[in-house]
Amino acid sequence: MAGTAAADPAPTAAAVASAVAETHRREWALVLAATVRVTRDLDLAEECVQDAYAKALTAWVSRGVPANPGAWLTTAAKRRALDLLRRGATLRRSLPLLVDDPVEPEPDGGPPHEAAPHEIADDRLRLIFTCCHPAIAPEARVALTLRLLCGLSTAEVARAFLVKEPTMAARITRAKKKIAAARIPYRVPPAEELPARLDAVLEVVHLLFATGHTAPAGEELVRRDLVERSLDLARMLRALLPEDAGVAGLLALILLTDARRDARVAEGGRLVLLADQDRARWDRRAIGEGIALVREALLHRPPGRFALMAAIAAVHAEAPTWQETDWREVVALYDLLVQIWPSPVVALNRAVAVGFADGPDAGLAALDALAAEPQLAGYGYLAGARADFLRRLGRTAAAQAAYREALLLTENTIERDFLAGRLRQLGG
Amino acid sequence: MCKVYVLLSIRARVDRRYSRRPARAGRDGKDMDMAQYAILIYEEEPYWADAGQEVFDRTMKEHAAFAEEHASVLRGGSALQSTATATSVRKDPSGGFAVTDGAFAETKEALNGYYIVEAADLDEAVAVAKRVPARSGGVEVRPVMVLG
Repeated sequence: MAGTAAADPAPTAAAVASAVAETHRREWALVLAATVRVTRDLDLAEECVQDAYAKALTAWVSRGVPANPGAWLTTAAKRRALDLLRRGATLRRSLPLLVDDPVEPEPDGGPPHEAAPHEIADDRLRLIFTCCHPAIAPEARVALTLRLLCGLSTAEVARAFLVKEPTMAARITRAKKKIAAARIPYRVPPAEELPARLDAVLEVVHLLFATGHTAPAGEELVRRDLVERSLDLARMLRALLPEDAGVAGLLALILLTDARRDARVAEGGRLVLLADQDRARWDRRAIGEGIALVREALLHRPPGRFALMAAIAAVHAEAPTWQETDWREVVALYDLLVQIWPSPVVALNRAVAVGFADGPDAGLAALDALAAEPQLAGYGYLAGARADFLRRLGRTAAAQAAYREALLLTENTIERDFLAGRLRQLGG
Repeated sequence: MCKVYVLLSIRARVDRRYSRRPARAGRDGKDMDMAQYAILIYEEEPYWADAGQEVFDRTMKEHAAFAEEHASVLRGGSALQSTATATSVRKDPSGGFAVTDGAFAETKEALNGYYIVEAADLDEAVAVAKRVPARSGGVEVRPVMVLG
């Protein structure tokens, strides 16, 4: 089998298990995407890939971990698929075949040849563009991406989004059924559709990151697993689409934001604000990589949403202290961002930056201009930001009221603890 | 306004073109596997009740142009009269039928016409759907079930 050059002739079962787990994390998308090309059926492809991973657990103990585990698994999964297809063991299949470009026929009817690297890349893109197709409901896009690109089980996907497993299973099944029945193609979109379709993909990856970075509810502030998955996906896209400024911007944003992870949560899980973080604990390697990517992404005109968000994160990353933050630059970047992404949440962040550039009075005025935004009603961060400006202006009673309002609107335990702490400091 | 909303002349045009179904060649030279989709047109009936003859005529021209442009993939289509003319027929618990005035569901937008198109995949079908001259509502793309 291709790529079976053993690195270690007699690895222990534990070493193999860990190699398989590592390969599961790194190569799942590659193996599945290539296998779907053979099966043209997502469920069958998943079964064959799972089977290949199970085989690896024993085969790699006796024959050693192959030099290219992804290629070994791909070959094994494709063989299994061809075997099942030949034996007609898939007649029970209820869904129509995926619409796909024709696969080059195998010269001798034998197992598929090893795909050239560009073909592999292409298959992973097919898979992610299919998972993030606009005809699939947004929450199902995220679920499918975690399941098919990251190889998470339905139970794990359900946990990630705090929904019950049967609910998530139904959501995934329904989406797969739609892909097959409505013939959502297993294909990379043509050039004229690519920008809009890629935006949908980046949106999904960003949502995964945002959900992981500040879990909307629950005991943990950060869902490390989701952050790692979003980083893996962004890196995969970067490797597959190295010229794309949007991809560079998103990867930069994730790196620069996540670089603060160790400084962001104190002992006992307490939230530490950017202003109070120990900047020595920021991940300088991630920051260096992120800044290089931001510079690249900003060369694209006009700069995209993620590139501008990353640029804001870069300004913070480059400031030696909170006091030395270049708030004028931050406000200017928010001004650009609000033009291409006119969201009330961006406007809120801009207002906060104005407060630091021009003082709490100016910040409060900018926030009050947003008070009528229906989308911000019920948004805890607006009340939280008002509370902070009022506190700094010494308007204690109004600040207490705003902290109480923010508390009512926040479900993350760690954020709640922070707000309650501030309220206590004000004697409320 | 008691008349057909849109698509009036489409049926004849479509029927005329049945025989011109093209053989679409795939990369391997064989006919590509095609599917049919229904493009269901949902529009706001009050809009059409208030729209004058001039808007109606203009819409008809747009549908005719659409049919012309997409003749090679159109496999059928009709306009429907308003839900004011609809009759619902349901089985009733006693084993008979309840025949009532009106549409099955009262919704803001009502089905008032459809096309059947042939497409290789959903992306192709949606591309055609975007060109349907729906004036007040929008269209829904549904794969046609293949039986047997």
